[in-house]
Amino acid sequence: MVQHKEYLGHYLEEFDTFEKDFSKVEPDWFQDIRKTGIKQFEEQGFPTARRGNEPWKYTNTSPIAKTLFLPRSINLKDPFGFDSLVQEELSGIQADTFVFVDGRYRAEFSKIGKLDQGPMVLTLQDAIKRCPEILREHIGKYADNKENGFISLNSAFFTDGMLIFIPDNYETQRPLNIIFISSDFCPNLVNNLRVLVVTGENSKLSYMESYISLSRNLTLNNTVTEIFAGKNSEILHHRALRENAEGFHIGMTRVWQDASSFFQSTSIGGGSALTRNDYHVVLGQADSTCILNGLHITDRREHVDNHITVSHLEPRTTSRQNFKSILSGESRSVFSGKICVQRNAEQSDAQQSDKNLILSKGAEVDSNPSLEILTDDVKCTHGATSGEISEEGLFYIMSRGFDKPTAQNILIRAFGEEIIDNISDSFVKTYFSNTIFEGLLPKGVEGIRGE
Amino acid sequence: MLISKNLHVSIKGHEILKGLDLIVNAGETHAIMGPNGSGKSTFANTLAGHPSFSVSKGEVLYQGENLLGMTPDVRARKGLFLAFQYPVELPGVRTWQFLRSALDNSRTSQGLEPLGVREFDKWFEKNRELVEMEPTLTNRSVNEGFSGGEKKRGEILQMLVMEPKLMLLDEPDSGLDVDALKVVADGVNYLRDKERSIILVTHYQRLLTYIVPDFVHILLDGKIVSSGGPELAEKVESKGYDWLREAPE
Repeated sequence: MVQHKEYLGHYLEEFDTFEKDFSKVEPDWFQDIRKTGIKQFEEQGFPTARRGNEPWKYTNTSPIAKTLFLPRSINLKDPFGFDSLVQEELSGIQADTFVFVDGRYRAEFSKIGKLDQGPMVLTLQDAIKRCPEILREHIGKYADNKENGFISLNSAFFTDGMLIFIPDNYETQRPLNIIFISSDFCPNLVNNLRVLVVTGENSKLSYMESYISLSRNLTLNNTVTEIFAGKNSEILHHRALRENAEGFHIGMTRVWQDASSFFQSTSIGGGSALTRNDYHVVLGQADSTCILNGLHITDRREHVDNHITVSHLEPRTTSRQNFKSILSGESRSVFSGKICVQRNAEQSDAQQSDKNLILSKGAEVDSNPSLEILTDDVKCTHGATSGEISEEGLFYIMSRGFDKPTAQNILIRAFGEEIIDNISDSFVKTYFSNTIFEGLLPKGVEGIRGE
Repeated sequence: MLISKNLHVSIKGHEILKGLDLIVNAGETHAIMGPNGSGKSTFANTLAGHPSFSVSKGEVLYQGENLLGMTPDVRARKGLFLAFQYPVELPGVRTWQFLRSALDNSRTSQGLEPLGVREFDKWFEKNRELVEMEPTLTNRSVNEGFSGGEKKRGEILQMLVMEPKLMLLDEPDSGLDVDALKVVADGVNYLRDKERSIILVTHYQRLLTYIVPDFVHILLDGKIVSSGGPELAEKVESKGYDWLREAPE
């Protein structure tokens, strides 16, 4: 508890300093979001794995609580040639790209072609000025401060982020790309990032959130993505995680779907000291569908916690959860997938699958699928598997002339590729396959990446 | 091509082959028959290098080299091919891509240039038609969701593409109807020539009317107890194996 007080004091103090700045520039209603956030955080603190707190049972947040993170970067100059690293990182990307470094938008790295009239694709700082009414209507509506301390901390401190607003009947032709980079400038930095996506009726959007750490420092990416899928709209959402092994990534994705909307999310990434990939999708109106796919490739002592909840509120709603992990070293993967089908949600259809490929003796998997069903007329299935590389498969491939490391690679790649194959946006698919997946694939079976 | 001398093989400490002697020359087709549990599949799998089988005694020479010292992939690159009795499903591994890499690999290790995409595709298509497999099947992952018969044809397709020197066929006829059996046999016969050798493991004489062997061996309790021409298979067909048990040699 002493520790609890220590970090609370720290963040309250930081907030007081922060308030002096934002109170000069931000409108009152926006300041209220921050004030509500800090108040809530003061009450909750970080969630802990204590008994009875089921959603955080497998996530040890104490290393985060122990580090007194700074909520704002202090230096935007580039004394270390860091800019060229960023340029290199971005060189292959063709899409309209918004780049944030250490929580702040950097126009000089961003590549934005001519965007059509109609959609509002803006940094939050711009959106406060240019379309406050959209923010006021939606921000904080899908991610509830009361849910946990990470969301409330984010509400208190988010420095920037993106608004993507797609009007009725509009379809994006190319995917939008948002890249959040952590640099080495500011040790112990927490990047509180917020993304708000709102799609109108019959609209289509494909976009990508990438989190890239070019830092060896301890950083925390504390991100909240709020998505509202309008009637009959289609959203293809992609998350790519390339954090460093010492960093922390807490990613909260909160989605609310209107009637007949379609939401597909694919998250792919490596691990970090602690990665929490936390989704709650509410199928809020009839005939809405969500597909949540994830692939995580971990090594060393990395920990990835996939915490997925889908709530079926209305009839004929459909959900799919398909998560896979490839584990090396002493890494750990947790899957807690929950399907809640409410009384009204007759003829709903939910499937959940968690598959793990374990490449080392020290790796560990916890899989906790659960169903909460309050109506009879539903179709729900769930399943979880964990296993090593199949000896029979290995022998079969070797008997066709492939040496053992190649045969292992063929099997590891094939295991992960199912998730890549299901990405419908071809641009994102290529990027995920060639850049993210390829870069994370273990190079053998013991030892693996890097060392 | 292949000389097996006094080969003893066990699995999980249980001895299956108890001194198997066999000589296969280039261009010859040898059928190995025997009842369940006699060690037929053990022999085929041992030659291919399956890690579950351990050799406790004896030796096997393949083209004059110690075969048992080679890993399965080296054996394959030197031209040995096992058509599996139970082909393994490889979800996510595309058949076409897999075979292309396998052939590239094999050609490179023989000092040959890999085939270009179009050249390989022609080669693949020609062989696919030979085994009468639908393109929808070969567009899928290796063996995934294939029926028993499709898997067997798939093995023959792989064999045709790879053009091995020594073909080991482990019960290629099990679970096949007559039409499929004929397709499998045609594929095997297509590859028969003066250079290539075949070891064909089967339960039934039926297959041997389509693939006529030069030699037939009867394997009983881990040893070859009788060798002869195709007439030996016919005798087994009509009299069973018991007469061999009663009067070995």
